[in-house]
Amino acid sequence: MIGQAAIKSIQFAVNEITLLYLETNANIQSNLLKMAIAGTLAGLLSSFVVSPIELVKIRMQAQNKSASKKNDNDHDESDISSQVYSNDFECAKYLIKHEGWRALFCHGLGITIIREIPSFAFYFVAYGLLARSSFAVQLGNHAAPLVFGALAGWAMWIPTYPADIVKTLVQVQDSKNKMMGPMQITAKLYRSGGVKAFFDGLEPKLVRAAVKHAATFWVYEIVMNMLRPIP
Amino acid sequence: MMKSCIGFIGLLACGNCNNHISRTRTDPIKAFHCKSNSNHNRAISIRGGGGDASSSTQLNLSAAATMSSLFAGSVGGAIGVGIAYPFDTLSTKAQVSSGKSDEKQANLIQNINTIWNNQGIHGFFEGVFVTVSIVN
Repeated sequence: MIGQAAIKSIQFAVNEITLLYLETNANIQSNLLKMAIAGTLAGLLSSFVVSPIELVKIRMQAQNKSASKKNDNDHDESDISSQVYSNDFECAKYLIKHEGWRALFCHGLGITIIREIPSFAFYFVAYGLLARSSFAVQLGNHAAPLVFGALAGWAMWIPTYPADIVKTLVQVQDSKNKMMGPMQITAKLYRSGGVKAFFDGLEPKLVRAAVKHAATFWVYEIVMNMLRPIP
Repeated sequence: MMKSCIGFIGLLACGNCNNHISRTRTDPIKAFHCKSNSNHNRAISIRGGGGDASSSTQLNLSAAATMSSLFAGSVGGAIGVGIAYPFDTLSTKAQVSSGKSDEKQANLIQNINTIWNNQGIHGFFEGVFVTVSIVN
């Protein structure tokens, strides 16, 4: 929670400062463009934090606990999925010990940035367009943020999902071994499964986006109502 | 009028509250999107409206609202990500297996079964701790 609040503050500040700067110093008419630029910058800077955290997350999620129990003796160092971690901290510690601090912060950073920038731009533009539409009034105070948030989450994920899958495949590799770069992985994926291969696992990701946004908006509303000064 | 708009987020046109979708925030998941009062003022200024936005009381309110939305966004985000986490795990499993061309790919149901049989509910939440520390 503390870490998250710190990260939020960075993103918040970047977004806020960029918007203020654009309003006073740049001759841009379109609000959506301003929002997209601010979101892009926030996305770019948050990538540096998102990348190491998602690296640990992906290693945790990709591990195959039952398989490694069976093959404990012929443990294959080259296959990252044969490594098992009891918890997130152990995973991070193992990563730092075997691949180094540099790998923790840099392994997959480039592809994370490539994913984050369009994500944030799509997100802001989608939400902005929806919020200004007549649906906002029809849906009302409660339904609008839920529905628009979920839709914006989808708008953010669908176009950037291929970048996400490449990012996962980059980060799941052991950086000590010879690795494939994002371009090689893209080529390999395309050869093996065509365009369809870039959308494997999209369905649960979209369910996740909808559930996440709905739950978050709901809790956010409750907390804000508790904190909001009484007029 | 300003008080009634605390928590209002900038992307939405509030038009000095006459169409009052004031509680429709851009993105509570990310507290940093939730600009509250400060953004409300900006929303008005963007649209060229007047807005009596610069008194010190309002600045204080703005700071309080910003802190509130930061906090609310953090709580909401952490809970939201936690609840949705199993779907993220399923997505990652599918992505990883799609990268291994030598393997026959398991479908969604098979993946759910495998995780459940091997580790139970815990298997769906591997890595949730580190992820909840940031909400993306």
